[in-house]
Amino acid sequence: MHADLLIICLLAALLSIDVRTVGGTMLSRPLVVAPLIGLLMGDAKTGFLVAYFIELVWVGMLPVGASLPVEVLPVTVVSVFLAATYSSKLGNFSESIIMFCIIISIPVGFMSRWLESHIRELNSRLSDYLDREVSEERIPNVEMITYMNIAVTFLKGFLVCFLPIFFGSHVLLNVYNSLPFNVKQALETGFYLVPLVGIAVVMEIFFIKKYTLHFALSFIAVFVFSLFTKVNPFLIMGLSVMAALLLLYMGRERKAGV
Amino acid sequence: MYKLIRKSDLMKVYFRLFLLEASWNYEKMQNIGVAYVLMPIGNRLYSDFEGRKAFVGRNLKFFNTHPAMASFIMGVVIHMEEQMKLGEPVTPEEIEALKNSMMGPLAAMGDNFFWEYLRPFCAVIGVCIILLCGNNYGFAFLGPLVALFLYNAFGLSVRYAGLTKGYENGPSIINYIAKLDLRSMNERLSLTALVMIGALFPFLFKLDNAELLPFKIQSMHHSLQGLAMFLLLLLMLLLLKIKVTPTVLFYGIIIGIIMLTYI
Repeated sequence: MHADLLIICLLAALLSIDVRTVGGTMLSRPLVVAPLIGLLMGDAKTGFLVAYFIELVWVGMLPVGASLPVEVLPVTVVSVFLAATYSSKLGNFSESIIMFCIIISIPVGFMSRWLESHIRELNSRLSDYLDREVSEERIPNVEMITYMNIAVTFLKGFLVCFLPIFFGSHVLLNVYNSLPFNVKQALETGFYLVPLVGIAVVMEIFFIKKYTLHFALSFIAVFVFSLFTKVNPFLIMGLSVMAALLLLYMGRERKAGV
Repeated sequence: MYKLIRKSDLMKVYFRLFLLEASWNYEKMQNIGVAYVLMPIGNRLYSDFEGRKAFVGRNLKFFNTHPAMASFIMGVVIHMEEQMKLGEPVTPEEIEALKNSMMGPLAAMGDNFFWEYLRPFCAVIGVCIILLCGNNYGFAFLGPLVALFLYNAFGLSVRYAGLTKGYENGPSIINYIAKLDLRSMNERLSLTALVMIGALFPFLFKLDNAELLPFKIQSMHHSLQGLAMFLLLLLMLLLLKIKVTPTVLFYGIIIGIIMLTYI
């Protein structure tokens, strides 16, 4: 288990460089990370579920200006790792395990954010140091500082994932096992309701009054369609992608016309 | 064009642009990043100590913009630096002023397009594919891959276009940026995302096809479940509108359910 943990935390640390340093190529989003780690843990199902849960809920949090959002990468890594480990230890897949793991790993995201703000304060000192170098007639070593910062980010990404899992894994399993039955059941229900938060977040981002009709039509079309036939998800996916492309195309036509 | 600067220098800058935010700090934000990004240009233009030192000093000023849109500014700065070295009437103050006047609007554009629309859009597409592929994990991996591809197709090409166009056009790049028209793109992305979510809704609220999804609601009646979930969704939309954070909603739901089970 320790070898697994080490490899996954190193991978997470590598990906954590992407969160801010590489300017975000989406490689570090839960949508990509969770299935990847699930795959490595031999539990792709858990990976996809966590990706679906975490990605949408926190997708609206933006690193605009000086504001730091909760870092979802460590949350994802810790929850997928713990959920996959617990599922294999307890010998069965259970919705409450996934929910429990997500709940306990959210604080890790806040911890990571706290560390990040301290790294940024340290960078302010470095910036002062560079200014001083220039005023003292020396060419500052900007490259070294940049690479050092990448190393610091790597280290932070590693520790933030490694420490909670290494020290918390056993304790948290005991906590889970000793949860009252009611709470476990509540977690299971939560598993079915929490995705709604994600959907609400996305709706809040994209919903424009002008397009209410399009939205309703697509809903009704698929709904009616699914009443009559056993729905093939690939067909629906294909149809909705086609409809979306058509709308994109129409949008462009109209613009060109005007 | 390309009198002193070579194409390979621009490529170096292109790859270094990814590290723009590596040394982000609260005081001058991306200043260390800018100095790092423009390093190859300084080394190409100035071979003497004084020139290089002044170049680095010039670029260690306050700077903050969206990392992808920064490429436009970098392109223009490289253009003007080259002009200055060639003896054209360009002063360092002009370059500084141009940087300062461009970074605000570009940051607003980039934050709005990339982070407020494109990233959630890619996430929605990815999640839709994951959900619709249900338990067929081989296909579900398409979700993350499609999202990655879509997002980076935009991100990487905007960076490249920004850098080269910015360098080739100089300060007149403003016209090019104005033509990008990201706002109408936002609307189209919204429309597409809404259609995708709309198509997903029946799966979320009508639970006969529950095995297609990784989740289903037990106990309650089908129609009632759908209605209850819809009302809950509306409630959450309302809460999000009054700026309750998703984290609070997340924990709120869990705590609410735990309390309900004890009543």
